[in-house]
Amino acid sequence: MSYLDQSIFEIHQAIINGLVTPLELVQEALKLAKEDNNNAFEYICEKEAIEQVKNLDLSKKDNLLWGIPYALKDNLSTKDIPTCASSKILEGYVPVYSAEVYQRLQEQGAILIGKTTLDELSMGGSGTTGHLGKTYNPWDPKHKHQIGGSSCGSAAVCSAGIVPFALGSDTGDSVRKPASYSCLVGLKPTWGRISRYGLFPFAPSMDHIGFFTRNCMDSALILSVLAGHDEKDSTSSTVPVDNYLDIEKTDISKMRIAVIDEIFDSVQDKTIKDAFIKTLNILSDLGLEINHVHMDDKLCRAIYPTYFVISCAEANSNNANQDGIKFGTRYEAEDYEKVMFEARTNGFSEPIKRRFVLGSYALLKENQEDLFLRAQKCRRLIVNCINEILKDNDAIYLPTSPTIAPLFDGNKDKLSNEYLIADNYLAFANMGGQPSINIPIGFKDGLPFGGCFTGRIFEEKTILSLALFLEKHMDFANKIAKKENE
Amino acid sequence: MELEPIIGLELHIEMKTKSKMFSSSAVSFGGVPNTHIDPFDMAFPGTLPLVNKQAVINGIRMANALHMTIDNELWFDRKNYFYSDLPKGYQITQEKRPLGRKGYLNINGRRIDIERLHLEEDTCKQLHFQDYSLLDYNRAGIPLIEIVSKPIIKDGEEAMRFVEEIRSIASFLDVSDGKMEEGSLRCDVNVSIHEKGQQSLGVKVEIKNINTLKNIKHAIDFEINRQEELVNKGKRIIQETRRYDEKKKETIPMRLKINSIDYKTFIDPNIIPIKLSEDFIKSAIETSNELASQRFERYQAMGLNDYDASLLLNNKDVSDYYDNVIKLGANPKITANWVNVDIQAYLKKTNTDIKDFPIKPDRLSQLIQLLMKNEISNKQVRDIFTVMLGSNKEPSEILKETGNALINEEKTLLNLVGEVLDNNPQIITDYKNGKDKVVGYVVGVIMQKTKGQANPSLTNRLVKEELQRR
Repeated sequence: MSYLDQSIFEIHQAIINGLVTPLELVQEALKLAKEDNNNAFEYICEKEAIEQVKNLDLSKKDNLLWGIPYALKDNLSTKDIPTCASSKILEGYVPVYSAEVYQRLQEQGAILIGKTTLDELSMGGSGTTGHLGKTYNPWDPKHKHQIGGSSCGSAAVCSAGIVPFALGSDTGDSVRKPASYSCLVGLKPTWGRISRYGLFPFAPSMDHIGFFTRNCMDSALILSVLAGHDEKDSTSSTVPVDNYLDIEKTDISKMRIAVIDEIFDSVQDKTIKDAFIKTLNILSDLGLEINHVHMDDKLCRAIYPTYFVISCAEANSNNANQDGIKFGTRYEAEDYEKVMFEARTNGFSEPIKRRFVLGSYALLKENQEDLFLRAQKCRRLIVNCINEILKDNDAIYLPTSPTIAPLFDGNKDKLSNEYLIADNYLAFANMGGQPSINIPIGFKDGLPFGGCFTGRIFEEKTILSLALFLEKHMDFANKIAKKENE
Repeated sequence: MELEPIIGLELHIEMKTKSKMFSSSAVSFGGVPNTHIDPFDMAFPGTLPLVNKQAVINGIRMANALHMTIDNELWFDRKNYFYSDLPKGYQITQEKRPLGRKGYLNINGRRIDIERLHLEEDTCKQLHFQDYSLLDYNRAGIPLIEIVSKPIIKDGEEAMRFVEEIRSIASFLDVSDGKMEEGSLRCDVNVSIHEKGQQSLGVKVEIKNINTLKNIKHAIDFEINRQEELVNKGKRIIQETRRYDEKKKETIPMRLKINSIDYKTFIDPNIIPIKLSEDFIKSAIETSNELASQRFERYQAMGLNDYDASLLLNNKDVSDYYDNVIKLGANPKITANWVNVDIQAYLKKTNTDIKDFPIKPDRLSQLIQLLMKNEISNKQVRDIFTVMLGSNKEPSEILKETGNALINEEKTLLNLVGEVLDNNPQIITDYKNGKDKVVGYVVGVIMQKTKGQANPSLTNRLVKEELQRR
């Protein structure tokens, strides 16, 4: 019998009870990984995983993650294991050091079985721009629908039941969006709650490490392992880490929930709206106060361009080390400028270069005031507005996405409020660093969609408790795509 | 038309902190290439900068010595540009909020305003070969202090003095070795000329690669001349970067400076601005070393003349050596004499650094104290000094071994005096007739007899007393 499709707590119990061994788990996960037809893996760590499982420290057996297979997004540095962030320019790069999150998981005895695909260098939300091509959504065996990105591979391997959890990163919505499209719990904790040491930077001021699980308790568990100060990341916080494992005991009945009307109203899909209202009713039935609040329509529409200008500007600089001399494929040329030109022209895909050019443009002396600095001011206005709402409310709650997973060849009206606001508002929590979580709240045409709680900074416990409460009143936890499809 | 040069300086000082500006790898000069490195120095994706506290303290001390306003927050920016020696494709620096602002230095009574002082990181060292180049990351990330003067320096001499003074400050604060020859102090110069009294400035020429203090003066003076000649001939000055050729003693064009590079600077999102508390700044300043000027005052107070004092202060290590000798009880004046004359002569002759001088401060202090206690003569000091250059023995031990201790017993000396006078009664007669110089003669004879071991001043007194008594 397979255990990989169960919750981490259940798998742990099975190990403790001797029903399954870590080696069996890992072998099964590796087998499933090799059979994966969603193009979710950059690298399967077969040798490394078997090696690690054979050397597991028995004295650590009681750790909940001991012997549990998992996957990492391929933008997390893993010593001696290739890491290329799904970019051609980093093909063949083998890091000499490990990300803090990877080390923490190794220490717990969790077993890395693979590195997962992403939109190239985490830039993108479709799961289509990596050097290996499209990553597919396990919920759609016909491979017509996206899984979203940029953490596409991690979402795919978790929802396909290959591993019970996988790490991703979230700069605009890159964990929460794919989680919504694949029936997963996707948590992005407060900026600074988890060390970013070893996370390939996209836009550091908005980059967060996040993770996918199939239920809220598993999410709380992963957070409790990863949260906490790391002296290698001076932006990681020293605020004491809460006990997330007792979220079941949180009394949420007095909590106040804000729904930002302008964002909710931008959602057009009736199924999603209805399902969302149903979850609101579950909350209000318990006694929670639901407050409909407002955010200036212009500010709502400004979230996406603000995010875009800032992230492109930072991204351009973060990837400047890929110059064909220090990193990246080398193309011989007569001088260093031409070497760099060739390496960057050939190494990055078009959408990446487009972002670099935009980012550069926004930072030029003559444009900086008008673009980059204006975006920074706008960011401040957005963050102030969100913080103001969170002063009187414990969390903001909204549909994660206005649609189910989009078609690969679908078109979006990029000037509509549905696109500009409902499809791109999640970045406000990246600008302000607030913790934010997706939980599945419904299905349409066989494809899942989610709701998203965003809380005050360092109050992960609040949003986890709220999500857990909803989870218990619905039937979307621990769903595996393949099984449902059969 | 009277022309006036306008000169501005940009200095880069490499700090000698234990670790680098943003990583924990060691700062080491001249190590085997690529041995003092870590993933951050090499810009491995995902690594993060950690601000070096000692480098910040050094920056505060320098800014304070240059009478600057010190920012109460520490902000770092990224300066973006592509170059082969730049690992990350950007340099972390302080563009928008430098640590120090609006300072000055007095150079020969003239106030030279300083615009800014900021912290940043060094780049790789490039090693060029026939048909390839290599990168040495040991230098990448070494903390730098950049100091920019206002463009108000009037000539090469003043520029040189200005740099000399900053070098002295950096050196006495233990911030840097300040060696231009080795690149731990680098100086870029901007020179332009314009008509005196006019507001508009002339075309700016930058001079790089100046590697000695004297060459700062030579390069600037040459450049002023060159520009003046061009103007006088009605020719145009080209905006360009030149370098100073030491052999030809002239500045030579390196590259045109058409448009200045747009560095697309923005705040480094990986370093949250750091609050510098009043206490932190105060304590950095209070615990900083004495500057050369402060030591000068101390030396004066101890009775050294200005010449000796400034000679000692030419080099911090020499001044440190001197301080260590007198701290252990040696007379300041005698010590200054020994350090400035005998030791300097030895260092020069053998091309040795004071740090490698064989006689350590405690030994020299012991030697000088023997002299102070009248246990040896000046001549003996010199002899023992010579022995000490080649051995690690204590001066008193050397003295014992060579049986060279001074004769201090009055009885022994008096016997000798009596002997000399008894054998030469004429001396007594001469003395009575007012010929005082016979005293010297008698002392000389006694010195001969004792092979210089008689205590000279004691012998002198005893001879006088005996002559008067007879």
